[in-house]
Amino acid sequence: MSDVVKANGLTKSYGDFKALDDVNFTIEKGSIVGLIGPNGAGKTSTLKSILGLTEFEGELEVLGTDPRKGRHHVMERVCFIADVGVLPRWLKVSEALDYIEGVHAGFSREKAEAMLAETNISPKQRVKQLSKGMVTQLHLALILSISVDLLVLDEPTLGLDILYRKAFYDQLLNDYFDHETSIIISTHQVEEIETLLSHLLFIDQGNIVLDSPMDNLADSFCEVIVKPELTDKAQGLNPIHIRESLGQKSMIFENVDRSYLEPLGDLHVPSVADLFVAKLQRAAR
Amino acid sequence: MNKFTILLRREIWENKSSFIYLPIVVASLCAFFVISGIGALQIGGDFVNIDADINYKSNQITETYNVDDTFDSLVGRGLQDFSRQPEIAKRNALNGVYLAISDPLILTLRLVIIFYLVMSLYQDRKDRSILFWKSMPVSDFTTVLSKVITALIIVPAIYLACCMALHLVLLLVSTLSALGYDVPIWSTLWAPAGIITRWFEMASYLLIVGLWCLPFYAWVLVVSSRAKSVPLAWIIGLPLVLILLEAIFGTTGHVKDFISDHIAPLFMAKDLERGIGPIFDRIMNVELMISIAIGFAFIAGAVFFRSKADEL
Repeated sequence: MSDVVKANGLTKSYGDFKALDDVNFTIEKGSIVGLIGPNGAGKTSTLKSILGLTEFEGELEVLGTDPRKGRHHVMERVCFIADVGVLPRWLKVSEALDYIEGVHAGFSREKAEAMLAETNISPKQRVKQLSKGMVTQLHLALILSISVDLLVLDEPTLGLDILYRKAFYDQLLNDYFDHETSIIISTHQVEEIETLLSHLLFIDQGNIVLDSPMDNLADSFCEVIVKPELTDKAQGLNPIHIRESLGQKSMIFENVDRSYLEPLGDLHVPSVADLFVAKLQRAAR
Repeated sequence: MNKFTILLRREIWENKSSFIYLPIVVASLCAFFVISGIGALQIGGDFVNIDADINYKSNQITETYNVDDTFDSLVGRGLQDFSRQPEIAKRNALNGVYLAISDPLILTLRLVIIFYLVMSLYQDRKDRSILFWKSMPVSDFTTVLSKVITALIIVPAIYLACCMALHLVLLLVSTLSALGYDVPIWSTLWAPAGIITRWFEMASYLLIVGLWCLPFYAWVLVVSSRAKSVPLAWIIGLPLVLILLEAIFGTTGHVKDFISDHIAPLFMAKDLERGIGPIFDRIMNVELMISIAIGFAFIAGAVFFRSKADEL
């Protein structure tokens, strides 16, 4: 069983509004998945369903079991960071260590202490005495010291400055990722996690609009900086996105053979951010 | 079990000031007033002359003194008279003293528990730390249970320990101050105080009143787990509305009686004055079982809402 998460017809309704509308996807073991979408697209509903934090319709398997059987069972093998700043302000660092050590069988106190030793955080401090960036460091050190099969990060770096954001992802990749654990990250800040991801899931208005391994992007998508005189010809090939900058038009094509595109101009793989804009504009049309 | 212990410790960490520091401060203040009161008698007693008729009354015996003496020797005479009182009279008198000195602690305890329960499932939704707690493999039932056990056993035990310390201080100080007078310490101050028995009585009193009031405690938990804002308004408001509806449309007073019966005892530590026996008789019956059952129903409600709970 190499699928960590398997969603089949996952639907989440709030009254008439469908936050998730018959969504299907799978997440393979050892992958780092970027769940990317605008606000209200259904990212949080997807993650909350996986974590057993909310009810839903359809089929969903997380590590072989239905998360509706109970959040606390899910949490033995899955961990999540909802976003920064949710650590209780009164909690002392040493108490946080004691607590997780007491309730979670997979927690390694030594590992957490080693990670904290590299920060300016002292065990006697309370969360409220730490800066926002330090709270994130603490939360990350705590969560990364728990060995689980799936880690879910929902906007983990929201509101942090660039230095902490970068450090966050460096630490995630270097200290944690071992190709055994799978990671799902949802975020707005696509550019920062682009290099990290092994799989992309774009979600918009409750639907998956792109589900692709990063390695396959180059096969399906191509961005062309079109020579001015060939604009009309390029238009004829149905680009999914056109962007104009500095007098040049760059177009993104989906599943168009490279032999058609090469004469039009310079080819390269579009960035995830551009792809995101392209796919979402298309979905909105 | 170890997992549950850490949950209880978590509750103490979060509420250290009201669970640990507050009872120590209250007990210290009580001890201070006792010591300074008796100390003032010891130091100043020699210099104060009293010239008055004093009615000394204890139980059935009334004696009138015609005094023209120093206060100090008056205290000595009072003590000697007290030591000659019948056993039951001495016990009743000391009972009152030891209970009165615990009263501030017991009252504080009740307020602390209620306030703790109000916030226990509300605060973490408000500051969003519920998302951290829910990321741990602890079931919602265990979480709620840890709050119930904290309110029923842990906090009362801490406050009881402070009461015990305070009783020991009172016993010690009264013994030291009686040393100067010719009275038998054991039969005058120690035996009638019966503090060990008293502690057992207080412990069972705290537990039983807690269980008797479980419907109220658990109702507070339900509101705490569900309310979107001002939980206190719901806690007080809904029972008031029920009582009003009953008064307008009903012919009986069952709702009102039930509600007041299960809240009032929290604030009547005086019940203990007649010993633990009458309290047992009053509530150790089917009614207590019904109270516990209703309490559990509310607890189940709190667990249900907790499992649906999200950040506010």
